[in-house]
Amino acid sequence: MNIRIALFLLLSLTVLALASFTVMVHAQDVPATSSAPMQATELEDPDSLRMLRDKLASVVAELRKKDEQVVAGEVRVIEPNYLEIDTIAGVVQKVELDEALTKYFRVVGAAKEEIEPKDMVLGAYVLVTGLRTDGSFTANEIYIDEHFDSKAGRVTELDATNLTLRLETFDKDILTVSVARSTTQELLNASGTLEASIFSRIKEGDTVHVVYAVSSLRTPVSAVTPTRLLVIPMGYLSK
Amino acid sequence: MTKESIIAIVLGLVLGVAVAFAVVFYTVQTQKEQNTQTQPDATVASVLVPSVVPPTVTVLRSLEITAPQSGTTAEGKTVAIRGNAGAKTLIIVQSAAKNQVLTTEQDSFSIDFPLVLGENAITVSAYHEGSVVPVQKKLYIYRLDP
Repeated sequence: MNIRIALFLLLSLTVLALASFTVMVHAQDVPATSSAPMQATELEDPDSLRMLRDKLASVVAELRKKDEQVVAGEVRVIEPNYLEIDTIAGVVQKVELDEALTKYFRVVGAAKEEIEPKDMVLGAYVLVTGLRTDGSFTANEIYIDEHFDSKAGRVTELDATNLTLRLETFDKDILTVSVARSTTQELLNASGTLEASIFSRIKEGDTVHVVYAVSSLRTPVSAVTPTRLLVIPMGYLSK
Repeated sequence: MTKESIIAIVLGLVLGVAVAFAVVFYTVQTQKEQNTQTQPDATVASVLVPSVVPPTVTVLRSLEITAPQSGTTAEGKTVAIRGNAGAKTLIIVQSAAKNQVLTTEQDSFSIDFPLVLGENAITVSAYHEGSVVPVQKKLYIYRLDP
């Protein structure tokens, strides 16, 4: 090969290699971020340390609150270190108790009162707040509360003497509804708003929605005394 | 060194620099294009998105609750229940605390509903226009701070 051609190619390749290397190094440079690193002198300041500690504690508390879950259901087993709960989702949940950490309350109207662990009884409906870790659920707070459910259906029979009615529910069940003095009765009027009502305004063929307290999750419901009753007159939905 | 050797060296340098410039130019252009793709302009996105969303013509016959998620805790004394049920749908929201009704004007609805302390078992029923059987969804919302 002619030595001049070889020299020409060698020089070209050398310059090309040097230029490419420079470009590659430039392309891998990470752009500087706008956040400045914390200076060592800032950490030596007690106020800064306290603020940092408070901020960390706040973040941890927020994370704990964020991770906190609620399990609701009926107590079926009570042991010194754990409870077993039949949940509303239909599964059994074991709840670990911590003598130092777990607190017990009872919901009474618009307030909650602290109670003792011995006040926990089988069959009680409870709301348990806690953290789920490695498959176990540890209770922070346990609230004894009342559980409500609802059903709706069409009125098939009325007994004005005993203030009872029979509903064929949309689940295809038959439900006997006993209206009590404590039952709040409302009717959907022609203008589409709710108004207070009485039993005598209910007619066969009307649609009725009821909300009632549940005494046991596992017992099938065939008769209820509702807390709330809402009537949709027969003609309202078909107009 | 002969005259031909000097010419070869000069030509080699010129060609090398030219190719190097071409490589640098190409690399810079490629990086600019990649940056543009990974950081889309918000203004452009807001202009483009509506043009690709088809107009809603489907009549909803279902009930979807978009907020809140069942099983969650709430801190206030009311909760905004939001969802989609279709227009002209009778919505009934019930709990032990209250009954509330509304008839939707659009597909979506929103209703502020009171919460009691403890568990709030809320049933949302939707009677679509012409239907006498409701679609129902249950929500469990917990308010634990008085």
